[in-house]
Amino acid sequence: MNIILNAIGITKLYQRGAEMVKALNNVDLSIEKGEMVSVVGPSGSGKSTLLNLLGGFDSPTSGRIYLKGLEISRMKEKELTMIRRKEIGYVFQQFHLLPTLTVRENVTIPLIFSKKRDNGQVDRILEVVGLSNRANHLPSQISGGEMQRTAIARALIHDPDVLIADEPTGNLDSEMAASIFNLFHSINRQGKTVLIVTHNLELAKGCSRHLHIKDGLILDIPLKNSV
Amino acid sequence: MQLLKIAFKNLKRRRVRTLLTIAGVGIASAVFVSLLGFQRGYKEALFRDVDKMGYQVLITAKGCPYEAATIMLKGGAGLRYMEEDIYNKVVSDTRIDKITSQLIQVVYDPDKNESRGGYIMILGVDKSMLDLKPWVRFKSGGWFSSDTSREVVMGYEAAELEQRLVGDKFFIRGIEGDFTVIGILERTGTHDDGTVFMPLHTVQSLFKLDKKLTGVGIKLKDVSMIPEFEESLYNVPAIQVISMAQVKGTILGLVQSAQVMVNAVAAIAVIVAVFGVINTLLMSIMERTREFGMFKSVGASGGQIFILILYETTLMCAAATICGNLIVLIGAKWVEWIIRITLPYAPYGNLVVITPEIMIVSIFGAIFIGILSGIYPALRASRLSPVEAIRREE
Repeated sequence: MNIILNAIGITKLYQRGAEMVKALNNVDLSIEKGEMVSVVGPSGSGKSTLLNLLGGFDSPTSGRIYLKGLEISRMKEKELTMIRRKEIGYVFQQFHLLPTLTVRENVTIPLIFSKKRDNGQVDRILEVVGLSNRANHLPSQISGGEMQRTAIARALIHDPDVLIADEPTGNLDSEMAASIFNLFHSINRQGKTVLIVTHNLELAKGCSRHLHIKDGLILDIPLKNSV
Repeated sequence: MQLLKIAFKNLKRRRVRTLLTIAGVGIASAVFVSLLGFQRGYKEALFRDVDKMGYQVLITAKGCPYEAATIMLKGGAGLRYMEEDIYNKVVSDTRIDKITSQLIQVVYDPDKNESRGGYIMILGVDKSMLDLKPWVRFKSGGWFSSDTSREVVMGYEAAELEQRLVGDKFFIRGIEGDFTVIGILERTGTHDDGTVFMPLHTVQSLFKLDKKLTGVGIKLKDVSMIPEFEESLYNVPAIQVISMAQVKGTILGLVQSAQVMVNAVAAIAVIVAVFGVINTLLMSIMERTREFGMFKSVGASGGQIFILILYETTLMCAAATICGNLIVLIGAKWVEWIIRITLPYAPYGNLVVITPEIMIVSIFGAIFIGILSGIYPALRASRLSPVEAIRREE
């Protein structure tokens, strides 16, 4: 077994006004390298919270999270920045592309922050996501699906082991959503571990593993039962 | 592509807001540059004007010494007269190197300036004036043929304005008969350029001011003797002795005290610009919370986001100050015109002098202000948690 992500007894509490909300309640979870995991559940169930914790974007109230054997839940911001530069790629539902930068420039952003040169990887990744012919277009000149492909290329440019996507098809029509899921499968086949939060159960079926979150608890069950 | 390019392209996203901020900082910068240019230009022009009078000490009739000095500098009515005997009394003083006496008259001519009216400044002088102003050269012609001739020597601009050449006739309204233009001076860059010179005795006779003078200009052998020289004439009745250094200091002091007020307004303009930049950036950062979250999620450190924001403010302020400098360079003549109609005494020549040093100071000053006003917004942006951006997705 080659565990890449391991969460032990993680709990996350939020203050919402005077009320304390328990987003995750003593959750244990292990994800193996190369798995493609879908995370499903009702709105506000804690799906995104789980992803944020596993990606090192947030820290748990209690419990420990390990990425490739390193405890990221206790890391300082500087160390987490290094982890994000090397190990994690994040795809947002809203794409978050900079509108004044071209597709190529948007994809290059992580290289700027990690002070790496483009040794041809931008062209390669644009080819992988099928955007070679759109490299010099602005986000306003491409479709929603192409924007999400750009965001995926940006998340992959630094060759991370783990790709996390939060509702990546939430803003796309069914055809484009299927195309994006196919892209995730293709990325997964190249050895990347992929975690996807989605409401689209039809698409989630293609994943090797399904996590159903409800009331801050994970039910690690086959999707058909979850549905 | 570098951070600087991202910063530059970010500014283009909200063009109107960026342009308005640039306009605000640019105007503040233009005010600042104009003030610095005026400080320098006015002082230089005043010193040049006073120095080009050619003397260090001026003897005039009793009255306000600075008013007298100013009228002698720029011309005007209302001068008091002193007796010519004073000249005879001091001329033999061994401390004196050069000395000249003069009588100023101002004649209003309603036909001048395309019938808008204007003054002709007439200065009665003798040849000793040329000893005190060795830089004065004749463009054409020469000095008066005698002390009582009906001849005029015209300053460069006076001759241009009246369109007179050597040998032409010159008329003065209210005075019978004509005068012959005997010489035209080269440009001096002082009020002499607009002056009509006549023999001293001719002016005394024409204006019925026999044996009267408006002033005696003196250059001493040694400038350190000025206080002692002033002291020695202290008890001579009906006259006063003014050192031109005092005149410079007093006029400059008067202008500078008015300038304190203007500087305060300029300082307020700069402060308003600083808060304008801070406000613009804070608004921009609030709107871009998700963007900074995205940056952090792809590996940006807090320091890099801090620098990105500083780049944005620096670019904005640098662009603004360059625009401000250009505005001043183009509009310096207008600023000068406003100053001339506002100030009671404005020296000859350029009043607003924009030097490369002033421009460099303003550009670096604006960049410094940009950095200063960017620090707080940049700190806020750099401290944003990546999860802030992601949470908003839910």
